Amino acid sequence: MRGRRVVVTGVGIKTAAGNDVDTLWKNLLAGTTTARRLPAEKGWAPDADTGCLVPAFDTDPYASARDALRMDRCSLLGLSAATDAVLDAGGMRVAPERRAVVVGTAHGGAQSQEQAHAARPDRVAGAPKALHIPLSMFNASAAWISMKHDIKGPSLCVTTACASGTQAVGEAFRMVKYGIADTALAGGNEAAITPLNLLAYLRSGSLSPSGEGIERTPCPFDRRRNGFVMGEGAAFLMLEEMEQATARGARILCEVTGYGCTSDAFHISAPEGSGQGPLRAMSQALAEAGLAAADVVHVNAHGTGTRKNDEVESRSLADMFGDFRIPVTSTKGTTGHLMGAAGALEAAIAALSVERCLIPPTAHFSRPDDDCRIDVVHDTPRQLAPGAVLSNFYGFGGHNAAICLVPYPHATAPKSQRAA
Amino acid sequence: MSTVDELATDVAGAVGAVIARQVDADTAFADLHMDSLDYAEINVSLSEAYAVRLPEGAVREAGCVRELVRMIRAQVEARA
Repeated sequence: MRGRRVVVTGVGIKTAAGNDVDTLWKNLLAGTTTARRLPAEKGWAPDADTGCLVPAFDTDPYASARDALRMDRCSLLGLSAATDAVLDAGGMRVAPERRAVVVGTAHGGAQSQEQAHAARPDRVAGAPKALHIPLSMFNASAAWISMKHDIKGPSLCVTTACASGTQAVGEAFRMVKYGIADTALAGGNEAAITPLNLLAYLRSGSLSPSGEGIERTPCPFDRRRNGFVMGEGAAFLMLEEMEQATARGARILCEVTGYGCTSDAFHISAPEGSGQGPLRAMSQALAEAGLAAADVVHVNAHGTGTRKNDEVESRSLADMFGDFRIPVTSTKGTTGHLMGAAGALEAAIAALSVERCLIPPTAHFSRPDDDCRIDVVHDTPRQLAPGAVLSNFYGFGGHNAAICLVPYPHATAPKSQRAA
Repeated sequence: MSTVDELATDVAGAVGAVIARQVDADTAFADLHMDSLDYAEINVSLSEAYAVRLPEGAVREAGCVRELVRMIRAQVEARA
């Protein structure tokens, strides 16, 4: 089944590196650090008190004061970014029944959950707030976005750990491609920087311990990497069926042409060492796009900054494209790791890269690692040649996902299909 | 115990905090477009604050802060 063509017509973001696209882009190109010691009053555990927080912004344009009281920060960030994406695209101009929203999150209303437990540790089951379930349920932001933007088609929540955001974009892409919806808001939101979560990630060996030099963390693919720094935020893309978008004269950032998702079926938190799962996800995305590895000009990598992820991811990239053959970046050095929202944010950044023909550098990268045989873009942005861009993501539990984006309109036929 | 007026001010504050609006002792709840979640949250909030047990539906039936204050005082005085 061939399906329809799908384009990106709007982006909205709320991140530590900026609450609008241009500020984020400027900070990405500069490799700005956003990791900070967290405000002391929450009682962070030693070594688990660093994060990338979204700067304060006026929430009045996004939610009434009453509705905001019914939202966890996760939903408020998500609704705000989704609304920005709709505005960026010039509105959702199809019937409500033809609209969809797909949201990725790994932790849902984590702050509300933790506050409820902290407030009454002796009475956890005794007297929660009546609002507790709407605040903490994982699907809350999808519901709020559907209400605020009159979305009466599918409204879904995807939760596959760090791959959630990528899979949200991928599932929304398929909905538009195969005619389930004509316009879809696809994204992710996360606000899971809590004392419990940071300590748990620290103890699992995934979090970069706070300490000297937090201004140089995280450092994906670098020899001295020691874990990720958690970020909060949200990112949404507006996906539209191409003919509808062109008919209304929409600005088109890029085309989404492929999506792949696979499972390692190996371990509840560690990636399988061969990198075959991620490689199969990339291969699926390229196959759906009708492209080959030779057509890919850039990969926006998962690149968390953990020892194991970056090693396995580099192996899969080297197997797919050859050693040091393709420019790779991880923007987590600037934004932190947005967990279930990160895939959506980095799909949005990849879309901006395609539109603006620039690859942002990997912040804090200075010492290459022999275990990471890839061409890491660092220090300064690099020009992006015309071609396909992959956004890759892998999550605890062995979830692997990849999205393929191409320029719109295509400047040339794919390299792999040109005559020798 | 607080005076009736002090209690009314406190209860109005608690109700207002739930719905993000200013409320006084005689504001009719019916005019505030509150839904079932608002009523439930106000019930939880007042029950916690004054250690009383308001039956389900009590807040909606009370209709305004002044009547809620009467219900709360009745329980507190009975307990004393």
